[in-house]
Amino acid sequence: MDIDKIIDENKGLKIPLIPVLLKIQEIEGFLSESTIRHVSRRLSIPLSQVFGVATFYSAFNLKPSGVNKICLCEGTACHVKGSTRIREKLERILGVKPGETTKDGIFTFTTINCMGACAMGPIMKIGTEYFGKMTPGKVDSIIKEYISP
Amino acid sequence: MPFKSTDENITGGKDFPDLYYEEDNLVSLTIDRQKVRVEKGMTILEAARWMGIKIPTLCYHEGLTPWGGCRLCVVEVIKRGRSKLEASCTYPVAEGIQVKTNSEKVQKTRRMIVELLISSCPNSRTLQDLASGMGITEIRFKMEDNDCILCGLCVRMCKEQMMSGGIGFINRGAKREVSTPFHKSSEICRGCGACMYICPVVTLQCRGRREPGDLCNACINVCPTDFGF
Ligand code: SF4
Ligand code: SF4
Ligand code: FES
Repeated sequence: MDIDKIIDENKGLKIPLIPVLLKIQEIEGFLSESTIRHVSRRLSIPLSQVFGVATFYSAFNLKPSGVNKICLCEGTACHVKGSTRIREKLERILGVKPGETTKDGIFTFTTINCMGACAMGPIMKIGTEYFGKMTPGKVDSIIKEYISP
Repeated sequence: MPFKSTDENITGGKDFPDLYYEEDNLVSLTIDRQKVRVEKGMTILEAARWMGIKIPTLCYHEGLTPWGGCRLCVVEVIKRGRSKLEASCTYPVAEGIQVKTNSEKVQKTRRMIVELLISSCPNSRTLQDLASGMGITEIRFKMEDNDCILCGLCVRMCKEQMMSGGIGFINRGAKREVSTPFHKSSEICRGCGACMYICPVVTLQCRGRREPGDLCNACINVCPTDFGF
């Protein structure tokens, strides 16, 4: 199994847990309960600790995510420039709250506290593509492109 | 090295290395205007308690690793003329520092910390006792009704003394809480109850007069005979 290979490769590290979880997530897309239990057993780290790490970092998802990951910046600069209205618009057309995945599995909507691109704010990211200087009006057309490419 | 062995057979001709404090293993510092020399690696809290100075603590326990979570043990540390508030339970003693354990600044900060803690868990007797002990009669914050102050005692107790690890901290920031993995009952928890034994919030309430969620103050306000002891 892939997971076992990853664990064996990283076992020698001083603190193997985070690299292992990151690599597993790269392959599987998310960390399932059984994966986390398996990692805890194989690395002999208490389950509570593995679960704590997996819930602490926003880099880890515990739920399967959609094909396209929408990430909206809600940092100070983007907030001042109106990211709240964009969030409301996204919530309305996707029908999900931040942290959730649409029923059809096409989008996962998350927010972040800063993307480090404040000059382009409000900024949104879908997959690896960035959309700067967002307005609620732009949201429709961008989302449409991803639904029917 | 003041102590030399006289009996070669016992020590193998060496000085007593562990039995006595060696000179270079000591640091001198000033705590509340008293000069002391204590062993390197001690914390300010340990040194102060050893001198008989009282510093209130909440997340500290002798049998567990210091955590530095509640900040109740703050003291003023003056180093090269600069004063800083530090948690004494995690601050190691250092040569030449000056410590004030009960200055006005410290007292003010401690009161604020107790007020903040009690506003989150007003039903904890430990916290109510602390407040009464410090003479706090008013809380400037909105009273909530949580059941955990995130002191981490239970998590450390479980892991370090019970060798279990059934519970841990999960999430981050405002959502941080103590929980079992996946919020399901843990397979390695033995139900020993040590986590509850040590928790400062799971203490039975005393019999002071008060509405739930209020500041109690019975110990300082109520006539002792009202307790019905
Ligand atoms: S009761 Fe369970 S969770 Fe609590 S200290 Fe004991 S083993 Fe740990
Ligand atoms: S449950 Fe109790 S001991 Fe554990 S962190 Fe919360 S207040 Fe502290
Ligand atoms: S006792 Fe020192 S921070 Fe809690």
